[in-house]
Amino acid sequence: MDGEIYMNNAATSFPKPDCVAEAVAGALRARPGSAHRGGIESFDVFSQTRRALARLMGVSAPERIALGPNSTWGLNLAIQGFPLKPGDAVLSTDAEHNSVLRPLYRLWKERDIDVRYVSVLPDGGIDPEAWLRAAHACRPKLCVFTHASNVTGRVNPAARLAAMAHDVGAAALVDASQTLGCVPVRAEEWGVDMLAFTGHKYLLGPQGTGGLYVRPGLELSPLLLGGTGVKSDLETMPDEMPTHLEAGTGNEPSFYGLLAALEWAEKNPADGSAFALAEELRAGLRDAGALVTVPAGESTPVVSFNIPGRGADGVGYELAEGFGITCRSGLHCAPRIFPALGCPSSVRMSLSRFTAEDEVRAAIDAVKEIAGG
Amino acid sequence: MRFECQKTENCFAASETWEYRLPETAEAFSVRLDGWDVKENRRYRRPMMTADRGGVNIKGVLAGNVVRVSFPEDGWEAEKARFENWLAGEEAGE
Repeated sequence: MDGEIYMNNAATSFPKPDCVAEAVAGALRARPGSAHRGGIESFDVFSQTRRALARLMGVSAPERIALGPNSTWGLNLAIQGFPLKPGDAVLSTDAEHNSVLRPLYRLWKERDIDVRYVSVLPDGGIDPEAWLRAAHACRPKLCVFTHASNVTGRVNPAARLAAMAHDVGAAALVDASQTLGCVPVRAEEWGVDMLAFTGHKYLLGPQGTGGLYVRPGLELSPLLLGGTGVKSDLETMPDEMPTHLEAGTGNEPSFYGLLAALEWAEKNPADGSAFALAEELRAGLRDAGALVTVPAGESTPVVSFNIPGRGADGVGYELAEGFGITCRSGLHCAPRIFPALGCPSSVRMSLSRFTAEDEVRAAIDAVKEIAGG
Repeated sequence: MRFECQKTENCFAASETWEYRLPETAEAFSVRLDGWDVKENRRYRRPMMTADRGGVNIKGVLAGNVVRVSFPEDGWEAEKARFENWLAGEEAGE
């Protein structure tokens, strides 16, 4: 293959359906909708996006989905806005991204919250038994876990982990950054209390889109305070959702793009080829001499590996510069997971529904070449 | 030799890696690396070079004019200054 190959979809997906760029461009050329807020005949892209997201994540109350720039925003909103008092415990895992770890560190450092982490399995997955033991040991008020590791792709049993959190009286916050749009997510059916997501990965939307689902009855303290366009006489944020958590003008053009992506995906469901290709990639990389982290169960199309005797940094650079394969190497913003994986860092290739078989073969050949060098 | 330098963004612990845009290709530049352990790999789709000396690593695509330089974690400032002084003192090629 002579062209560039993109295998960094777990960071930001590429390409997007053509309708996404067209929707963003159309929104930028059109009169902004926020100038006509609330009219029955006006098209509200945020409401329409909430409805499409609610269908996708199995939520019956779209207004419980607060929209913001990304899942980092949603996770911060959930972690920093959840009602905790000094001495309370929060349980999380070593598989988490820094968008969870850093807010939790702040809770520990500045609010005297007891933060505990459950170590993970060698494939990056959460062991439900270890999770349950830890939950009983620390009696947390909040449990935070990723639906799938962004390093290894391993998908965790969200319903089971959430139920275990509820068993000890804790709320469950799920980081679905790596899964929404890729594997089934059923927030209400799973009984999760909060679920953070992003638009620019497997939802195929633009950067600058994401949010947080908050179950009815759970009230968070807003992360940002400001204009809402409604109840402007109040000194505080309005109580009703989603306005309660959404201050300031929204990213309307990008949400037009996300809505276009969601509607496109509803009409064009993925055929599962990315998962099959990820398996082919794992097998091919192993044959090429790489040490591949193989998920023991369901996984996203994320493949993490190392080449013996070579640093992940050098391998990632050579793949990018020497072969035109865009992937990711390093800690992937999830530094706590690596002791469990038995390596200091890794190279990550993440596929999408648009990844082609010849691209996977080219990636395997490139790794073979690098390993042989 | 005039050059541009920029810190590279990456996701590694304690990484001191910088990119240098040079007025010549990495292939021409590698000829200047007397005393370095220089290796070329021409089997890659875009042939590459690497060079190592004293914990400093240089790598780049032979036909390109950007090289990536990693300095050792301990004393990277001094190593970087030494490397840049040497670069600045080199005469640019044709």
